[in-house]
Amino acid sequence: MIQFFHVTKKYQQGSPALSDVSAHIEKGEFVFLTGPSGAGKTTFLKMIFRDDVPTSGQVIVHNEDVATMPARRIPYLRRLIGVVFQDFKLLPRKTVFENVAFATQVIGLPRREQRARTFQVLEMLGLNHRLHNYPEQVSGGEQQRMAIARALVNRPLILLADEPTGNLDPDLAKEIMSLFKDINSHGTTVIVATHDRDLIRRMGRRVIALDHGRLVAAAVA
Amino acid sequence: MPRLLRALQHCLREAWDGLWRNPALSTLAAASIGISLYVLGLFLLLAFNLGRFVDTLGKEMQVQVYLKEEITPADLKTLRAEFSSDPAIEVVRFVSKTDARLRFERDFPSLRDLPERVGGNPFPASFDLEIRDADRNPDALDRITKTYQKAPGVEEVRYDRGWTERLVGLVDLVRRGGLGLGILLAGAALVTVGAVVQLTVLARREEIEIMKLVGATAAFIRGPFLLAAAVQGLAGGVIALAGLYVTHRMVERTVVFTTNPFMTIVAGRFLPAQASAALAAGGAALGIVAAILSLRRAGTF
Repeated sequence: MIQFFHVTKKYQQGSPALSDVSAHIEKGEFVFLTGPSGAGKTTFLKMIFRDDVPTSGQVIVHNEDVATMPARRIPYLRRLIGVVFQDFKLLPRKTVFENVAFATQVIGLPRREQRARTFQVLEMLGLNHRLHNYPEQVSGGEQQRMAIARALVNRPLILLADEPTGNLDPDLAKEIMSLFKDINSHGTTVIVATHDRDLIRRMGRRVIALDHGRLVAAAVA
Repeated sequence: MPRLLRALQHCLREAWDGLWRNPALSTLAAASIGISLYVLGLFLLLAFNLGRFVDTLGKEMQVQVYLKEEITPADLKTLRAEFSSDPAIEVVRFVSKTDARLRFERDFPSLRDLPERVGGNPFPASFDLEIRDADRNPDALDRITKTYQKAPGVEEVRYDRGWTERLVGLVDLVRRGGLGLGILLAGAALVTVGAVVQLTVLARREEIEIMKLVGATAAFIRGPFLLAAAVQGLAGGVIALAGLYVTHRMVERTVVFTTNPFMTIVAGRFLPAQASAALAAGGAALGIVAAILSLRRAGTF
């Protein structure tokens, strides 16, 4: 499903964000991406949904080289991928319902389908009592779940989550992880970037560990 | 509902939202296009009316071929045949010496005894030639003059070349001046509308970023901006037309208009429907161009 071949990413200043990273993630796999801050986890994720391109090497997602794909294909790649951003990226002027429905509207689903899917995913994430609230009116955990709902509403093949439990208390973090496990059990490939070692140990899934942009380990925790 | 229709619906809704989210900015964009098109329209109106005047004058303008006293009936017949077969000549009218004298007496009744005093009839016979519309220009008239100047029995060929050239030149000058000034103002309008689009893009940058990340196509993102700019441009065009109409009516009602023939010439009629429609459509086009340039700068193209 996802293949990194000797991927290096250099920005103008400082050391490379990724340095000669090769990794394979199979369809339906649940993988943790770990490492300290600045290890290159976010860059790794960005390459997958083509928010960034490698300086050298190749990133293949769903049989397509993301660096060389024409610009008009990028939206269609992104429709296969749901992303939960570390900073949530919610729209403050839209309600909980609108924030999630927005993703379905963008890909041109029929209005009825938009509503049905949005209600379904919000119910699944326990946000159906918050439909008309604005992001600032809900808790951090609920904002996190809004971001997850938006990533899931288009039923992606791949789910990427960048530090999804960073702002949550342990119980809520556990709940979110169990949700990801559930999503994964339905066939979605899940990649979670986190530096929470306890969480990784508890889940017992494959780990790709990065440090200073280098791959330092790829094994089951 | 088909996907395309849904995309169009989204485009309309978002464009409408965009226009009303900041009415002051939308008004500013429409007004700047309106002002540039108003000035362009003023020159168009002037050129249109001057052009009409030249046409009218041209219709009245004739080429006179004065004949020698000693012209033979055979030469006269040949000349008439040549005029009749010339594609540039629409009507051929022969004016005999007697007709010429009668015409003089009719046009200048106070001088009707002048021919008697100079000893008979000093007026030469002539042909009055009415020229077809397409040939009523200095070059074609020159050709006609040269062709018949040397013909047997012809004394002189005349037409009022100076006036024609000056008027055609004036219309051309007005058109060019209007176009130049219009382009200059359109440039200023492009900058204003572009700035308005950029401000809107800036205000919605978070939304645009998320749209991109969840798989919105470029057309889906740009469509509403282009449509809103086209609406602003069209509104500008309509403002310009309304302003032109009001100006025209005000000029029409002034005393100067009724007493000064020049005013009748320069502001006789309002712009024809096609020119008015083109002006409004030009506004919409200006809006779209400004939006494309601005979205390109903002990195959405």
